[in-house]
Amino acid sequence: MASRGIRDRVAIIGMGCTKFGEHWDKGAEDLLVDAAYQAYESAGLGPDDVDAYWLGTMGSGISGLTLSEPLKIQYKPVTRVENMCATGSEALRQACYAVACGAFDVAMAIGVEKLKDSGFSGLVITNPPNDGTPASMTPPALFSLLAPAYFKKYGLDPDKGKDVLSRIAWKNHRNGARNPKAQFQKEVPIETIKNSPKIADPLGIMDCSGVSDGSAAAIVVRAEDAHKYCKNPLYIKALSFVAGPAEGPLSQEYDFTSFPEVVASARDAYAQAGITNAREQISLAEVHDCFTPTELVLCEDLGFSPRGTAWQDVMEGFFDLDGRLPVNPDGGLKSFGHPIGASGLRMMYEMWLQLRGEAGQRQVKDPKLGLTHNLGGQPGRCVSFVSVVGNSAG
Amino acid sequence: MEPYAFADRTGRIATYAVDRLAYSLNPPTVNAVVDYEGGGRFLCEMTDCEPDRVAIGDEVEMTFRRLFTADGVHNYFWKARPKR
Repeated sequence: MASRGIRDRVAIIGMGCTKFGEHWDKGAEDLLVDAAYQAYESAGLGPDDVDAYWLGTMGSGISGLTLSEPLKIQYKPVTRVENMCATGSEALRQACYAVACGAFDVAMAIGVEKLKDSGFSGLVITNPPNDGTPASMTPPALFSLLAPAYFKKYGLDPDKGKDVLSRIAWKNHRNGARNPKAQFQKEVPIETIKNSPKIADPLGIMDCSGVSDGSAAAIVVRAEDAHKYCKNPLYIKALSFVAGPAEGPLSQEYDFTSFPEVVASARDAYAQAGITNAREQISLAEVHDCFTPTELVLCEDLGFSPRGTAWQDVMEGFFDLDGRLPVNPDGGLKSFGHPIGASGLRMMYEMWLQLRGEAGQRQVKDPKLGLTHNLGGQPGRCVSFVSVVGNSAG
Repeated sequence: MEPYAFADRTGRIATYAVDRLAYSLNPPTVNAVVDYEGGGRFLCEMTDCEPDRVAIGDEVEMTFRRLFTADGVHNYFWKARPKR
């Protein structure tokens, strides 16, 4: 038993993405309408042509009505999904399976989150009541657990480790400075990053992704129909989603230098897509850089760097826009912020642009296969999504 | 299910976080992943420690402390402190 995958059976024929940022003058409804109509227009379709919808949002609404009301969807299926910070990717996965199995001809995956309206800087998560004994940690602290463990295991002194983390943030802001849809569109000097106020040692505020509002959408059809709508569609090569047993906080076997869930979902995705050497075969990747140590560890979990060497690849520019394997060419969560329901589809939007030669000054030369990676939870206790997409079938 | 007692066991820090964002009566909140001698792991708050001196491999022991207070009601639970 293994996941069989739907390689080359589904294609994306249109996408949309709002600017990410502080949209004080818009509600989630406005953002959804903006992203959905961009996607309709991109595919040359109207609302009547889409047969079913999957909406990803963690906290900006419940039920399909969150989408059907603003879009005035006329009595069609709308499913609201949530899978923590991988919610947007989960919406896409469900829409792809729905057309792959033949239940619908045209489906839309759309994600949204309005984070700024809460008046709280960060994610507002409503957990069920507990007995009051679990340690209360903020997201930057939870992900900061990776840093000392990684530095110790691979012999990086704290200064060197901080240089590596700072360079990841520097690279992502440099890419974001070339993206008109990013929340932050400025390069940031590496010294500013390195000396930013501490949030969770060794993470400073510049090691953390932003907090923003945004929405993104994709329209999918079966691959055999794609050319009816679009002359250069994006083919789904792999979709993998895993939830882990959450043993990291309890088991001494977990060492906080990896996400086993990511390793598992990458292995599954590469098997689906027929990838044997990710470092050589993946042209570019969007990964879940919620905090800088996350991106460092992900580059090893996804097989881009051998264990213990991603930090060297970071320092040598391997993941830069002009490097061998650009990571977060659009600027990542670092430049976009992380409106939960939208992020996974925002990552796919960069693949849509890059693999079709429409990424402007960020354009990577002649890409063939792109990867998106989306993560929810914390080190040792998370869900992970990996997709592989390409610009040709077969 | 078999009960195990960890109150008198010592452990070593597998990794840790110095959280300057979390609300705390004793900032910054230091949390540690404690690996007990003989097996078992617990993620808990550290107390009676110098945040800048906490390191992987440090030996810690458990101490029963006040964790949260709400509406005048105190909630006590286990924290780790450097072994004395």
